[in-house]
Amino acid sequence: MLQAPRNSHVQPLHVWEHVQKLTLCRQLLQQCCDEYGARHGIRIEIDSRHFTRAFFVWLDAISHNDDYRRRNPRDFYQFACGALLRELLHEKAVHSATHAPLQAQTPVDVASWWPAGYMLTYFCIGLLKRTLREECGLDVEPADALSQPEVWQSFRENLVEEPSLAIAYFDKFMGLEPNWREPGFVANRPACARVTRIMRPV
Amino acid sequence: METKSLLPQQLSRDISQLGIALKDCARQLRYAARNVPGPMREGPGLAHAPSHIAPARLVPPLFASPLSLESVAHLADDLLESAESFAGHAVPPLQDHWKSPVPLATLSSYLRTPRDDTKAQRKFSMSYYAAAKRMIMQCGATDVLIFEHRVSSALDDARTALAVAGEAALPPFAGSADALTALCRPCAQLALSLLDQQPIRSTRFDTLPDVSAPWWLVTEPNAYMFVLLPLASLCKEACTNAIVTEPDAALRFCADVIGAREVALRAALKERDRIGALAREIEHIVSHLC
Repeated sequence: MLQAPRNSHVQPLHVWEHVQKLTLCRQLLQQCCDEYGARHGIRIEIDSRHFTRAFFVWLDAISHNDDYRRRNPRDFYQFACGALLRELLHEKAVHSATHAPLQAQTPVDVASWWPAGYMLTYFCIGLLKRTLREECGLDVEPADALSQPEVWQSFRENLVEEPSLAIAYFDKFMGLEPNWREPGFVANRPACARVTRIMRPV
Repeated sequence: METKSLLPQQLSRDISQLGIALKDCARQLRYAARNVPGPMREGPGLAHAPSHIAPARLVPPLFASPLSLESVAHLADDLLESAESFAGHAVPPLQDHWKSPVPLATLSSYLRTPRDDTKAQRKFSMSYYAAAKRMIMQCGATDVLIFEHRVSSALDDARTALAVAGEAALPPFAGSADALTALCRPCAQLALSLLDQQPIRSTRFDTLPDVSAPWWLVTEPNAYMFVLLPLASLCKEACTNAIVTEPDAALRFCADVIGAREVALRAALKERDRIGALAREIEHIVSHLC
């Protein structure tokens, strides 16, 4: 059964501000790693150099799209957390320190089958939930796709070819309509297109 | 050929001349005391001193009047020892302080150093020299040549440039964003002054460095190290509690940050307004650290 790692004791006042600070973001991720290890018995370590690179690339991505935050904050935070997942996975910011057994072809237990992807996805989901609660007053829950092993398998396979698909899969996990073609472009997000149509004068 | 450091060679030459002169003087004194007959000291109470118990090292000279000449010889011996000792201490030690972790001070403390405070100036150049050498050696270099006096000159240059720009008075850092912003330009200025001096003359990697040595460090050691070190000094000021205190770990942390921002930093160094561009990049970095 898929369960999100509990990181309820990590309660900075404004998680969105905190996550934009390198050391604080790392602390949040470290706590998630610790909780994951306690829950699943798999030790995950952060690679400082790769994490730092992922963090700053992500900062560039969100600052580049900061105007979208004013137009559609709900979808901006969704995109931002998906982009964080993309960078953390792409840069291999974490790795499993436990020697993994011969990997199965299909994910019976996702947590063991793909520890890094599983843990980082839950980290970003936790981050999104708290950000939306604090910044937008919204409570969101993941969709059923999160508990479907075939989606995880597809996620892991496709990620090898196109890292930005992490954003699309993250949308799918949160029950949003993904933009499969160009997931890294905010302007092509379905929610962005709707906002643009609404704002366009008739 | 430029010397590695002005201090050791010039000073050691003078000091060894001084040592030779002092030794010569002391030898002559000793020779005179032992071989040249002279009048015995006369005085009340001293004439009764028994001559057979007069080892001058045990009895103070004034109370060993019959052996006054011998005591002069001992005095000369002491002088000789002192001269050698002083000379030995005055010669700068081998510059191997990079072999231990090098703690950096805050940026403000370096830039606020008065020009006539040679001790503080030396502390700056020694720290940056040692930190740079240590980091490069730890990245796999087999030899590094750094001119410490150029590091020292860079601090002067930076202070002069800041004074000319009217930014000599550094704000007290109180943790505010404004104070941090005000420190970014001096930080950039110090980095650029160091870069202009090119203190790292050569680095030698016998084998191709692995991932522990960033390629930027290998190809442009001055740019890499002297953007890194002022940034580390600024971080020590701006992120007092958030960054590890162990010197090597703190530098590794900053090296990771420099690596992550390498493209932007290199672009800033090529801008027409280098200092402005570098200051903006440093501000961007530091504002997202803690």
